[in-house]
Amino acid sequence: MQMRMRSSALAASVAMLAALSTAASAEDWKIGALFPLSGGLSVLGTEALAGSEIAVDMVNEKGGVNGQKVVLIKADATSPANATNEARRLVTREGVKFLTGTYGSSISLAIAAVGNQFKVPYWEGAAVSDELTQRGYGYVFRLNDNATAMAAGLVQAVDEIFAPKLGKEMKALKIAIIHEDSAFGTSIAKDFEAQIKEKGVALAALEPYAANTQDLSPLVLRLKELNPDVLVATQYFNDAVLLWRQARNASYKPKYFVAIGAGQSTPDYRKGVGEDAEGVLIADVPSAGVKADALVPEAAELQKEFIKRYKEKMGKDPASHSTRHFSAMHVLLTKVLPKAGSFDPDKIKAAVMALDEPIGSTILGFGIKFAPEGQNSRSFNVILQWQKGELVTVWPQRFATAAPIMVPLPDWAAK
Amino acid sequence: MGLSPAMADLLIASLLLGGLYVTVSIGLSLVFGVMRVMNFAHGEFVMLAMYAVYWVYEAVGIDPYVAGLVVVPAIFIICFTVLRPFVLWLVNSPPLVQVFATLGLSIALQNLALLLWAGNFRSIQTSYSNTLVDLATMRVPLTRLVAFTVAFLLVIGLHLFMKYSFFGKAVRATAQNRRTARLMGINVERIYILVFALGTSIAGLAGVLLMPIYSVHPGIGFQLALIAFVVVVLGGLGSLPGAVLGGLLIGFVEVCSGYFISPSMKQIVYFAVFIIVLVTRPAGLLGQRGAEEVGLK
Repeated sequence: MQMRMRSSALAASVAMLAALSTAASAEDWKIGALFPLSGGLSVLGTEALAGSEIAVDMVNEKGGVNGQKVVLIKADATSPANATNEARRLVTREGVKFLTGTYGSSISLAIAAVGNQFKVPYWEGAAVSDELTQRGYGYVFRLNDNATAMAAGLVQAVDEIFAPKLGKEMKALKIAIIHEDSAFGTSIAKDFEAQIKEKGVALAALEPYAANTQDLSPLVLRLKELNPDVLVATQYFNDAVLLWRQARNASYKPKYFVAIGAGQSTPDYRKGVGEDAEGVLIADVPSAGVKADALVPEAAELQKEFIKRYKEKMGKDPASHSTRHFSAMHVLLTKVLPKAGSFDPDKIKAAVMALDEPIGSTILGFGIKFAPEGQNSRSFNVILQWQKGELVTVWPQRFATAAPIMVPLPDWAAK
Repeated sequence: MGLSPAMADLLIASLLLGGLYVTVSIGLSLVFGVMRVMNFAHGEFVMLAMYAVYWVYEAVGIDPYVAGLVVVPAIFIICFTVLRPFVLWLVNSPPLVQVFATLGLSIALQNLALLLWAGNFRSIQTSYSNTLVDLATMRVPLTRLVAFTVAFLLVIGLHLFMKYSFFGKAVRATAQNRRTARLMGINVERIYILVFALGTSIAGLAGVLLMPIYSVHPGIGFQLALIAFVVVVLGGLGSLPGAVLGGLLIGFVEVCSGYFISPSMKQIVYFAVFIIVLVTRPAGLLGQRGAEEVGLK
């Protein structure tokens, strides 16, 4: 009797599982969505997924893609090894024919490799490593900015904001870059070095360091001695706060400082360094929202709707990675899949390559024109600045919500 | 003084950093010296204390140092009561079991912190976060000076306590020979619990001192513990003066190599120093051979 009860319970649970996995009917658009949902990256991974989900909900409410619903098949990708396994499982066991994600460049490379192995297209939302679209996979697409675009934002900031203020040609500037030494910081620093070299500038110093360090005082002392005209920094959060605090302790303040937005563009940074954040410039996407008149009307409308829905869903304002993912998913569902008509990789590729939309047509302000290797060439970074506790856009003119202030940075305010 | 300003800056920076490392390391050294237990979860107690201070500050706005007056005794009491059976079991287990038990505890606590408070970096801005103190010709951040001073006083106090108090003598007797100590009428179990609680409270104190300086996140304890292990082994396992010397030396090597060679090289350099010391003096700078058997002197 007990035996039979157990087996019937088993049968019931198998049936339930079967019911769950067939919740997506055969005709639905089944899209694999790989994000780090547990572990150290989970906070931002979960937010990024929420961005994608909002795009899916909005499209489904309007009847789906070509009359069929879109279903996200979610998987937890916490590390490259784990991402490989989960991507394989989605493709081989769940029958997924299209993959999206993620947060973290190394995870994204792992998913793209699986996609390549099974000839399944991969649509990347937020990872920035250049390498992703340079491996020659053929069916990897990235709508948003990569490390090259981020470095380009920095270079332009130096050229157009700092050089005129210093009354020098860019060539005559003494520029130093410090960066955390993982793939993220290194690739951006290298791109930056290569791009200013094209402008005839040699770096005065290139200083890598480990992001998990507890002390940056030797670096600060070196910078104090070198005293570059412009200091550029590619940092995560903890080291970004540490640098600014220890620079204050050493009474060293770079006059011209611009960061690349991982550490400095979070509200936690403002909290961590307090008033001292004032005036810090950051190359990033305009996470706090693009001003409406810089966008085409539909994109402006979409931005409003997204911010509203995100606040309802998550109880806070969207940050840059969730906005990137919303934008990427929305473009996929409204501009790529309807034209491609199926997940056939070549039809997808043809639909992606045919896209040609001007700057301002997505909610981050990007245009859409994919280069053959799969990177959107109309993605870029703007320059943000902390002003009175808010992140505002100060450059380029079209997107600026305020004029840059405190260039050069004044000395540390007395406490 | 014939010191150039940059040299003086370097010296002070390395002293302050070394002081921090000493604070994180002495509890570990104490527990090992007496109990011969390498507590891999040591850093997690630093992390938990940082979170405790952070949340008290966020919730009621109580100053981190004041909150420390509650947090540190609370850790002591928790170790003394709740963790009592665990500590007694641990000290009587074979070394391999001790390693896995404390390492397991470390991973469990890290993930608990991740579950409860997510992976965000959290920091405190107090009115004195950016205060600089004039010291001779130098300007020194107040928070780091406090950490250094407290570490300095703590080491001296602990040393005197171990050397001259009755309890300290009982602790050293237990460390030297558990069985004989018991024959002399020392309640060995009680000593173990008290030493564990003391060592862990010192970890908590380190957390309190670090919170105004650093951001807290679930992985910070592990990062700090890695340095603490280097410090303790470099100075000599179980030797308190060794932990002080080791901490100051690592601080000095880290700052100077970061300045003169490159910030990215500093870890390589201090690990190289570590290896050289271990090759020439396997027991550490002030340790003695077989310390893992003999323990604290």
